[in-house]
Amino acid sequence: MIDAAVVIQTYLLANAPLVTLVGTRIYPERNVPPPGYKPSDGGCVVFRARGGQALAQGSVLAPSVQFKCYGMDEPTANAVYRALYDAIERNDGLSGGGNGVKSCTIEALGQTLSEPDTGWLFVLTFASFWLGAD
Amino acid sequence: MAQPKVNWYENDVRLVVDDASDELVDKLAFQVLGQAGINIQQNGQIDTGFMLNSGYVISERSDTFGDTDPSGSYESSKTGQTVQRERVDAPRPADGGAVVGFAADYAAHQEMKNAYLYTAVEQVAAQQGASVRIKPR
Repeated sequence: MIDAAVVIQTYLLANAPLVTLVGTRIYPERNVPPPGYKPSDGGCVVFRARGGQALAQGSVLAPSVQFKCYGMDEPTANAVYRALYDAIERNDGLSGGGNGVKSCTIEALGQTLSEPDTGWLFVLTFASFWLGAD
Repeated sequence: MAQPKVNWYENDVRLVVDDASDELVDKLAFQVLGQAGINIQQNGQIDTGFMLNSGYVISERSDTFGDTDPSGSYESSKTGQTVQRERVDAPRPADGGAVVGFAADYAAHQEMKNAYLYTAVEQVAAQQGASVRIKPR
């Protein structure tokens, strides 16, 4: 069985416009950025599955994934969100084989919020992925 | 730092039920609410109990928002201190369906940390079989 988080991370790291904004700061299986990160480092994306299903007799994994897009301020957090949206909704990475991603789509449009503990601004959104299970 | 208040009324996920009566919609909504409460307990997401008691269903037949605890001071079981808890306003009534929500203003952040409500939707859908499915907004 594949590691869905790694597949999604790899798919996003192959998206040039998103990487331009966040570099390699795309962190799987996290609700908040890792220790040491601060918004002045630049934008980042954290994500984790909140649920999902195995389809087609287990040959396809279909997780629902929560994304949080951080930035120094609201405009930069939203710029990261828009790049993530394009990476997912336009399926830009699929033409090269998708790195294991068969399809993906945004489930809910982003909403700007702030972290209770740090006050950091982020945009919350959700997406569905369909991944080859092997 | 003050706790950010979140009014998260976005229709995040829906349970779609084939040929459902209002009665069945209500039944499923309360099943989701009950399962979400179980998940909150099992996830260890209880401090004052305010969030747990802030769950509600609004539908054509039911409106339990008024039964949720009001904003006020509540005792933290973790620290023993009194903490302020805020209830957000009720969402608009459901249009031909039912809304299941939690009115604690930090409920969305708890859902991000550990999805008690989305998981409840999945659990109820799985219990109901093929006539019920999850559909993103």
